Amino acid sequence: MNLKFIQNYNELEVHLQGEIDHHCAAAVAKTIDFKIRRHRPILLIMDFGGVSFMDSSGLAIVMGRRKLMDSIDGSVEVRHLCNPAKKIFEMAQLDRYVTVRKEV
Amino acid sequence: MKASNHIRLTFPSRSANEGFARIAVAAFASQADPTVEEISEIKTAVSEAVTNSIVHGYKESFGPITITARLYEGGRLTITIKDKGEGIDDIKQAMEPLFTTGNEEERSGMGFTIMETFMDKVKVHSRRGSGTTVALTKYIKARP
Repeated sequence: MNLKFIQNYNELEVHLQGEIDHHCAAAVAKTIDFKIRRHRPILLIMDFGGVSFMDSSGLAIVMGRRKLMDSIDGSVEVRHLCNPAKKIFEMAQLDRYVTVRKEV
Repeated sequence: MKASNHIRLTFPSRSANEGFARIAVAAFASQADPTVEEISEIKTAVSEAVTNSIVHGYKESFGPITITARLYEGGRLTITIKDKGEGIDDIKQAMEPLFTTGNEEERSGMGFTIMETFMDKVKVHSRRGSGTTVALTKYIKARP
């Protein structure tokens, strides 16, 4: 799993690339949290376009970051979900907790 | 019915083996000519079951996880994931969506729900102190 960060003003964008499973989840969470605490963005954008595999660990990563963003009055948006990540997010009704950007 | 082919893998419950386990099972399942979507569903279900054994079965300790996968005529695939960990007290509760005894920051409680959605059958046998076996079945449809 590879992470790429882009910062624009009050937004922090993280591009996730590769496979997301329990093995890498703790390190991914820690890296993103470090950036959030440092930049204190209003919006955290998580881009799943480069994710080739994801299990429920991906859900925990999003929900955990949402909790941290909540604590600094920010919000989370997820982008470029494709199957099976999309299916897993739908199962957990993730759109009740974060913004899921509709792709055109 | 006798399986037309099978594999058995045993590996220690280290999280580094999660990727190996799902890819090995997916490679075996590819003999039945599944779609890309079916392969990704199988990989995800196996990943959930193996992660459960690592996180809940063995917790702070390590032990063996054995995966047996069998392919039958007509595209029936069965996969059992077996650990000798601490077992589950209440299987019904463990299978409820969003229920987790794990660290909420790391676990979502969706493992069994994902297995049930992506596979055709999920059966769980468990006894406190002697381990858990998850049996997954998927019918890989023949394509014209």
